[in-house]
Amino acid sequence: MKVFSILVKNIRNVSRNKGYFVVLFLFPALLILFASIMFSSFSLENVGIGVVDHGGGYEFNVEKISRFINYNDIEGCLDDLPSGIVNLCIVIDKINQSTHLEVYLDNSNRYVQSYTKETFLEASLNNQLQDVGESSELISERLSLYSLSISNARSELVNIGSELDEQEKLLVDYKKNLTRLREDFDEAYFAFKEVEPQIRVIQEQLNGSDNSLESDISSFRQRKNYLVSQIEVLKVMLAVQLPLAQYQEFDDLLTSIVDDLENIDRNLQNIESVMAGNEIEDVVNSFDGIVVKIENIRTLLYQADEDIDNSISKIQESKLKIQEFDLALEEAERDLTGLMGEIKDGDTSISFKNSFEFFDDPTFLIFPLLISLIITLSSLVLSNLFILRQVNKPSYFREIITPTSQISFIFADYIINLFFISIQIVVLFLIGLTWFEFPLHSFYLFFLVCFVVSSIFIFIGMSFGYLIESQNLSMLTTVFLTMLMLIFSDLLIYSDLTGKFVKFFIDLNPFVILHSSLKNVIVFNKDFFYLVPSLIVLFVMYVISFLVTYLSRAINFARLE
Amino acid sequence: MSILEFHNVKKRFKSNLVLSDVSFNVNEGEIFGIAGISGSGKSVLLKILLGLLNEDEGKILFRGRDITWKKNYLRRNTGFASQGNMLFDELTIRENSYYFGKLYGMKRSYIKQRFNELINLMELSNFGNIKIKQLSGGMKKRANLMIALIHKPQLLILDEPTVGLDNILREKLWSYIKKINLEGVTIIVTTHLLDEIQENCDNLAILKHGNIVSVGSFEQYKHDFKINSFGGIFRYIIENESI
Repeated sequence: MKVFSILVKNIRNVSRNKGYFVVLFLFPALLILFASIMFSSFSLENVGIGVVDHGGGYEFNVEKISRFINYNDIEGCLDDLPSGIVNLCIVIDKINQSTHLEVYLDNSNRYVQSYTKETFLEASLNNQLQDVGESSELISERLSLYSLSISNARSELVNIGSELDEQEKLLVDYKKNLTRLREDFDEAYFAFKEVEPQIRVIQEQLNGSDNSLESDISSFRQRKNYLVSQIEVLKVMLAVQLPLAQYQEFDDLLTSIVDDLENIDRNLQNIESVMAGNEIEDVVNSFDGIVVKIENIRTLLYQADEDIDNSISKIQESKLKIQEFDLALEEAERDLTGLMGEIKDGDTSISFKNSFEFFDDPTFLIFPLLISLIITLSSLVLSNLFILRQVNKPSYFREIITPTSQISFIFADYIINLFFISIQIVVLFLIGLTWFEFPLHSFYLFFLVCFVVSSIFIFIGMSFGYLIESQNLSMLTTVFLTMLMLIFSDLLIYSDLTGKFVKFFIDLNPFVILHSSLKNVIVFNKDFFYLVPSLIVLFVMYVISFLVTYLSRAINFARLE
Repeated sequence: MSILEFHNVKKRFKSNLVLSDVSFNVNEGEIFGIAGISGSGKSVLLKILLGLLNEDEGKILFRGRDITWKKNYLRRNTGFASQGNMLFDELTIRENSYYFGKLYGMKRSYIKQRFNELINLMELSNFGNIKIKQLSGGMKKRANLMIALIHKPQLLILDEPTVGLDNILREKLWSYIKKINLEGVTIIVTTHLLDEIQENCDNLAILKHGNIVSVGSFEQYKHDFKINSFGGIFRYIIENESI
């Protein structure tokens, strides 16, 4: 069988060429090694944050980031951004008691920008959540206190209401007694009023007798004083005119007269005092005062009665107000209790969780991409190199002058390339199986996707080999195509962020399809049916790329003519 | 009896007529030499013979069969060796033999038989398992000849077979070519070394401006042109515009 013979020849030809081993095994092995080193060193701890603190004193709650560098001004920090000393700069300001953060991201590097943004947002959110949590707890505590206070206030109000009830009762009783007293007093008062004219008469009478006696005593006292003064004058005259003895006699006599007069005056004084000590007279004399006082008492009694009424009504008003206040407090207490419930219920807690459960290793997530890269590069470069080494040799001419169809050559060359790529696929799967515990049952899907995509790339590489005679140009074209495929993928920018037109081509990129399919198989454990749409697209590409290869070989053949 | 007949074969590349009305016969068992300067259409003629090109007009008969649309028949019965190494360097002579034998649709046992015959014929028995790249220049030429004969072609086409070899090796190679010829293989040789074909070819053709201007044995040439060397005759024909 010719194809088998071509295959055997190819295997011998390739296996005896060290260059193929370098491309097939050494390069991929080195690629895996370097990529593993690179990816295993990937950590968010490496993100450097430049801080320009203008007094904000913001505390970052970032466990992951250990690299903070302080700057005096933002310019210094921004100068260090391009060199990667820091990956973002933060200016912290204190404005109106609140901290304001200005974050400067390195938008010249989208990946760094994305990572730093994510990291910072997470850190910032954690900080804010912590603050909100603390505030929430504080508010909740305060609200509990307020609620308790309101509850206490309500109890106090109830007590006051009870006391007011008692006071009202007392006042009502007191008012009853007072009313009774006032009525009794009124009876006495009216009786007093009835006797008042008689008392007035008696008073006048008493006043009149007192006045005549007082005037009599007064005239007596005046006469006495006059007599005493005359006696003293007489004594003086007698002392001058009479002999001493006679004077003595007269003097004694006059002195006894004066003494008698004094005694009389004294007696009259006693009478006056006796008169002054007369109770009836006192009563009579104090009658006006009594009347005034009785009137005052009556007025006061009425006033007291009225005051008690006012007090009772005031108490009743107070009771009503207390009831209203109690109702208001009850409502406030209810609101507070509700609010506390809401605060507890709505206690916002955000945690960042993984959507998918898989091997928590960045290398694992990157591994499908790594496989895609290896398979893409190997398939394209290997097949291109393989064909170039053939078509530029005289042996190629000897081959094509044999009675062998072109498809046999294409098929055999394709299979030998695929064979070597298949070895890579198996090796890569084994690496995944060992390092990342790939599910063994996913091998057939893994191999199927890799098989179809590597076939497409092999055909493309072969086509370039046939079409472009110059080895250098052909290889450069292959490298260019590889780069193009890498550019039109998620490697440089997230393809989801591109426009529909570009996204359409990105979605048709076999490298992208390979990457997404491998990710679905390895990371998400998707089954065959999930991959069917991608496989249909790949199969169409497979057929087209085969036809292109056939056409390219035909062109190459025609060129030989 | 003619093994190969060209009847008024024409070939154009766009408006350029590369072969114009080429007619000649190659007899079975002979060594047929074709001489021509560069651009005379020698390569196109060879490519048509190898089935790489189709003639635009005319007819080519191989053993009396029109092979215009049967290139594989021509390929199956034609062997080709050029001045360069047309073998896979990484493979041994044996491996090359088996590989190309398979491409010609031979059975393994027959390949083995042919390999043994040819390796002895070319005196390469001790080098059957040596990679081509490890062989000397002369051995490579012999190995090349050997592989060209692996499918036992009736017609062997040699394009400048001795280029790059010294005189001793040239003579040795011609002795092998003659051995092959003695095996019954008709040989067409193109070369610019005119004394070689003068000595070794039964018939000689001169290609000029895409046309075979003269065919015959050296003796006939000598007789017609009264010149003692084929080189002189060739120069005369090429330089004489009237021919």
